[in-house]
Amino acid sequence: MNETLIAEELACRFGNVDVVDGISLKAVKGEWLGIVGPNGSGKSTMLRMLARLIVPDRGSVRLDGDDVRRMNTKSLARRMTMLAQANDPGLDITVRELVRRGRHPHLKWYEECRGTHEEVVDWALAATKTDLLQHRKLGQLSGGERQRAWLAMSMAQTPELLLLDEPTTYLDIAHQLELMELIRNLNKERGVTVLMVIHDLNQAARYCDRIMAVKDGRIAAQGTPAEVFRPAFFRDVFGVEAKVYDDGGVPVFMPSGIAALRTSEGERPSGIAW
Amino acid sequence: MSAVVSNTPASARRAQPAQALKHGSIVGISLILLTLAILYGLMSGAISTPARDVWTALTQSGESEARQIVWNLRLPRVLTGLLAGMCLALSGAFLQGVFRNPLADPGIIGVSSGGGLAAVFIMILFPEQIGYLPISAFLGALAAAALVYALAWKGGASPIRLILAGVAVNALLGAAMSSLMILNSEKVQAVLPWMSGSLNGRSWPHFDALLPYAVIGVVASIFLVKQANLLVLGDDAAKVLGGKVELSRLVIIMLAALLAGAAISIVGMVGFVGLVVPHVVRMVAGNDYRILLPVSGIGGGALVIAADTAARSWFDPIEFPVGILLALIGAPFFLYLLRKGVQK
Repeated sequence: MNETLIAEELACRFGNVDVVDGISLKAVKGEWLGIVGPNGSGKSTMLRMLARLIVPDRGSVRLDGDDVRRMNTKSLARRMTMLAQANDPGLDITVRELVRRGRHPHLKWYEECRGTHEEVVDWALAATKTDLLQHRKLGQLSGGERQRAWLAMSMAQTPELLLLDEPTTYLDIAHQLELMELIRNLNKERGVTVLMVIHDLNQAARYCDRIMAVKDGRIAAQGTPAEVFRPAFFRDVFGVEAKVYDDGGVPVFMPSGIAALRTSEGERPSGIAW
Repeated sequence: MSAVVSNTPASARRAQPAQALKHGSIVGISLILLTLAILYGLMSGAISTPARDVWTALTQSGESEARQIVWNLRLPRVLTGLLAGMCLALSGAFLQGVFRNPLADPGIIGVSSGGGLAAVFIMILFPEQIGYLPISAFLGALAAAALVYALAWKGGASPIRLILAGVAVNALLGAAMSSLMILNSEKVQAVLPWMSGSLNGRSWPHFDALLPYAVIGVVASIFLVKQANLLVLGDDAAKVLGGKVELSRLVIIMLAALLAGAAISIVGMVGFVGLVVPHVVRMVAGNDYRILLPVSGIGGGALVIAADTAARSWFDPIEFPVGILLALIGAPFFLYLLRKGVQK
């Protein structure tokens, strides 16, 4: 096994809540790891700790053996990047300017983005089909176009390891699949290791090599999609009853309702005639 | 990487020369405006001096009246205005990026209130030490900015906490300044021109005092362009791109305080330049600091020179404080721009 990113016993506390409470994970070079879990399970916080956006209260993150906290910020940014869930929607710069900033970690302080760097920018724009939008301002784009522009910036960084926090949230189904195919291409053709937080479980099953489920700040299950996606898993982790079908080796799930434990309605407030 | 790019459409690459041309022409136009403003500043006043006489006065030493007026009175005043306007505009351009807020200006980090309190303190309580006013105002401005930053720090200084800390410090220092003035109302008259920002009587010593800070500011700005361009994207994006977010934010804020503090210590509380100039430049030239900073600097200088010249020649024999004229003319113009929404 050729591990690239290794996290040990990560923990993070906001106030008096343990958002992440001891998660260890290993990402194998070239794999696509899908991270799933209910809202508030701590998966985004975990991803942000991996990307060094949050300093963990406990635990360590190592990239190819080096502790990321001791690494130079620019050399880390050449090897690993993260696309956040939400970015400033009103940015007053053009798509191309945004994508050019993706070259920042590869440029010395006196260097300008030109020559081969500009060619990488062109490639990222073309690959994400944002080349026709490149002179528009980000604030004038739709949510989906903007998301593709930000992905183009991450791609222009040419990282070995790409962390993505729900990248398909704002996209319609065709653009979701297009983005997943694009990432599959990066993953398979260029060997980019991908860690992706994703809500659509069927897409996770279809595209990811491995699934890790997070609940209450801990790992609830992990393995290949076929190993993980069983009816008991959906009940325990998401609290839904589901049937799992097989679609040519890929598990497909169909929820049928909220699991029994969650259906108690509690007491209705009195005085409301409803 | 070269194998990657073979399928790039050629049309995509044509963008670069077009952008360079656009940037070049914007810098060119701003330099022309600056030249016109300087010329206006040297020609106008209680006595109008034709361009030919200005040229003679600048190039030939002698004891002529034109030489006296142009070389000893107007030129230093114009150049002091140039530096002050440049410093204020650069400061505002940086702060709007750091705070990711188009309404940020040097006032937001306490520079005006800190410098103002120190200046009022000297003018009212120690009028015989008036020579120490610039240095006191400068130190007051820096101290207020440092205080704002320290109050906002909590494992990092986010823009929103900086703004809240700035509002609180401004309120406190503003109250102290008002108290001083109310308790010493008979001496307030002396304070007023400084409070509204004035270039009246500024000459070579003032220019010499401001020059080193302006040079330091411009040189430091060059090194901070890339960091400013990253900060604009937001903290997370700047970090994953390899930016040192907290460090560069601190350095940029302190540089902005230095620039604005130096300017107001010499010309008083000239507002508006730091807010409006970068804003207008951004509408025309975009939000790339490689172009935003130089054009804001040039534009700020041109605006202050033109406004000061108007302020001293339109109302002759009264010398109007340039700060008031800037606000009177600039505010409606700014509102017009906002409503018109100059955008491509």
